Amino acid sequence: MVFNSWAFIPFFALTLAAYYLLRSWRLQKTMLLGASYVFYGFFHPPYVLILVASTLIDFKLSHWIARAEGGRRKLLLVLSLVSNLGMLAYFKYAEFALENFNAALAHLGVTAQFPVWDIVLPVGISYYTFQTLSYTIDVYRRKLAPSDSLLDFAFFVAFFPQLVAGPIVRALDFLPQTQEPQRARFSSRQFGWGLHLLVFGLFGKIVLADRTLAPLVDYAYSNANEINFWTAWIGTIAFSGQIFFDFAGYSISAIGVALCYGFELPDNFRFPYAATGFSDFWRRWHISLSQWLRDYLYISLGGNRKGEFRTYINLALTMILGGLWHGAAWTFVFWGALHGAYLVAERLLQPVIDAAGKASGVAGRIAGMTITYILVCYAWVFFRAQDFSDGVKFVEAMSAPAPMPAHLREGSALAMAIMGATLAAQWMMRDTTIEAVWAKYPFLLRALILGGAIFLIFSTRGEQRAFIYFQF
Amino acid sequence: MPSSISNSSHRAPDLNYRNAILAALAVALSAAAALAAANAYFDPFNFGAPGPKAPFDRVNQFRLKNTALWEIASVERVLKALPEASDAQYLIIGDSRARAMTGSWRKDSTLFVQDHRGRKIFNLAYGGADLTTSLMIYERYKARFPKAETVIFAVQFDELSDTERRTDQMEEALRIAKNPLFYYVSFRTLKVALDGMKDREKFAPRQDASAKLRMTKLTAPKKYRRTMRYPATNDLQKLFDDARTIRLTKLARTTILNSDPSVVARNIDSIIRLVVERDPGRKFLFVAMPMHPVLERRVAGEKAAGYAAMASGLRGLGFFYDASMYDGAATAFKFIDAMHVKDAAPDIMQDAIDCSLHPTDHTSVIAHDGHSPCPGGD
Repeated sequence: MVFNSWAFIPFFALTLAAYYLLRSWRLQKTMLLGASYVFYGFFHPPYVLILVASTLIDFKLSHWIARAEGGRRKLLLVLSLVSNLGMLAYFKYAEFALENFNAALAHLGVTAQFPVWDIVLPVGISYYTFQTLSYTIDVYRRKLAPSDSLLDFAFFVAFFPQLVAGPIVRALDFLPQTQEPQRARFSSRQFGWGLHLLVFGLFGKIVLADRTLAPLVDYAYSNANEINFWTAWIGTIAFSGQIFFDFAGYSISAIGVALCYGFELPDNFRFPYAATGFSDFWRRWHISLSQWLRDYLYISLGGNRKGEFRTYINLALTMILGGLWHGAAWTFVFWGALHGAYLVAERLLQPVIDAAGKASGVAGRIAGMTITYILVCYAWVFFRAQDFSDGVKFVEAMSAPAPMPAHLREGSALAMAIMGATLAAQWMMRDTTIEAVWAKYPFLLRALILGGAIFLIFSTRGEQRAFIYFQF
Repeated sequence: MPSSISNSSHRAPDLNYRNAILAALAVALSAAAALAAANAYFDPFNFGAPGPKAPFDRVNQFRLKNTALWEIASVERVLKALPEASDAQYLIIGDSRARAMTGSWRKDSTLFVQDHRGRKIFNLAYGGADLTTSLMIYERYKARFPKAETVIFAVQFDELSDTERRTDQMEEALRIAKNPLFYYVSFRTLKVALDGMKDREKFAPRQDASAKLRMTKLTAPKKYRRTMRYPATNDLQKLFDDARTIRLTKLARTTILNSDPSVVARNIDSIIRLVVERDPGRKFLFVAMPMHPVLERRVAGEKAAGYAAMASGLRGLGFFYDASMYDGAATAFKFIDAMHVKDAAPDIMQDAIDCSLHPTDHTSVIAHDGHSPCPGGD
């Protein structure tokens, strides 16, 4: 089930009613856990078992890790890593690995080929695997005591708003909330704002990403052989908007839905296209993933504690693995490598960037934002392209200016206007929050914006498109 | 007070949410009502017949804006009005020539034939439907016709080429056709209506003295040239017919040249997987439809190998009847009038189909010009 499906409306209404009618905190959490399994079961019912298995394994292992010392403690952590990453490797990367292995064999002249398995990826496996991993690692690092309640832990893993596409929630943030029965008391403020966020997220997903930007992206990226300068740029700029509104839309909706039940989820986006550099970009884009990678991968690799050169290697490696996390394809690996290279280059040039920034003030920051956005767009090409060679064709076309075809000007005007407005709005809001801006608007304007968004969500609905990040 | 997590900025501002949400709902509902009223007035796809629609020629103005939706809406209207239509024993799938086998493609009433030689026939073919569309419409509707024993699958050689669309328009058309809310509260419906109005102003033939001269010079857009479907009844229409024939020649070159044997074989393979293998209980009759003489000449000549591949592939899937060469120089009766089959052609086609389906029983087949169309019949 997804937030932008009709089935979600009765599901949400029924679970809300049940949640606030039930009088026992334990029953309320149990009901939400059951509802979360139903929500997940809509995708592929048998895969609920994988979710349950992952939950049980990490619940048990975390207790053993907490009690163990020395080598045994480390061994149990390795067991947790192997079980979690093993599951992820099998479902997500086995097919990719076999294909590449076969290709390597063929390259060496070996005619024998291993059969490539046809594996259906359990939706959201990358997200809940990272959640359970962070939990056992935090227990291992003694930052967190293992949960005494299987119900609370299972609820943390499976809570449906964030289950399939994040934000990636840390046990440190969520488990304490399961100990606070006062969350289940209805608060019109919390509930009302939760609904607002749900509407904002769905507006971004349905109206902007699916209806306005996706057709241009599909048009451009399905014709790589006939691509030209303008089609490539317009398609890529549209994709930068599509993926933002799609993914940030999901995150905002998830945060809003969770808030309706009284639970808080972490931020996932903070106006990323207003970033004035790449480290700034990753503090604003998919925040829960970049923080996860920083805390559990980059720091584990040594972070910046082992010298300058090793820092660069760690940065690049973290971003490459971050790219691979998105999907089993070389295009994602390259996308991650490109961002790794951006971060390394930024670190190398930091003194120059700082000096230029001080000298040029706002103009310098706008230039920083523009350069960052353009380079992020170049990286998006490989994220979206069907394969690496298509990506190269796009990059070549983007570097060879040509006159704009008339039909493209007409067909892309609305989408490009939306992207222009989006970049301007992100720049203006880069140091504030939606909440702060919304609170300043007069009542009538708020009613018009919210009402207009609801109206456009329903009146522009077309074919239901899956959220892009579900495939990861 | 519940604790707050440190890494969330989404904390509810202190506002009056009840009034804000009520006011927002009022705004949304008012806007939806206004949009629905405008769409009900234009009603480009005849959903609300006989509602308060604007008095335009809906077929010519709106059908081509979304042929899938137009045709699906017709099918749904007929199935709703005539529940017995679901008992059809024969289904026809294909494009406008297949649609013409049960009568005018413009009328809902020709979708369902109550009694054709004792059989009920439902025609799911429609103008402009390519191979993908034909497959998809069948896939979506087959469960609605549980008694359909025979599927007459009309195929055109050029439809098996790679130049055809590969998109499935059915899902969305079905969704809208089944739920009027999607139709009335939709900007796309309004856009179709406004686009149709715009074209109408620009291209509608005018019966005045200057119109003839104007039309002579007109380079009509493709969509309009394809819209004109009738034999010329006056000079003005004849101009369009001529233009269409010229265009058809160009179209023929484009599509036929791409119909090479490997492409045809691959696409026939997709028919097997999508249709025949999934419906082992049904009888399939593949009919290679008549072609325009321009296409026919090319198929008989340089594309003979591709054509033979198609015929052989389809023969291997089920019954096959080849009506594609009916318009050749050797045939007395011309099936095609510019672009479509003539009125008498469907009868001859149906006879031929009967011959294929009932090869040992020619008694139900009507003879033409004293000759049975069945091989070996009198």
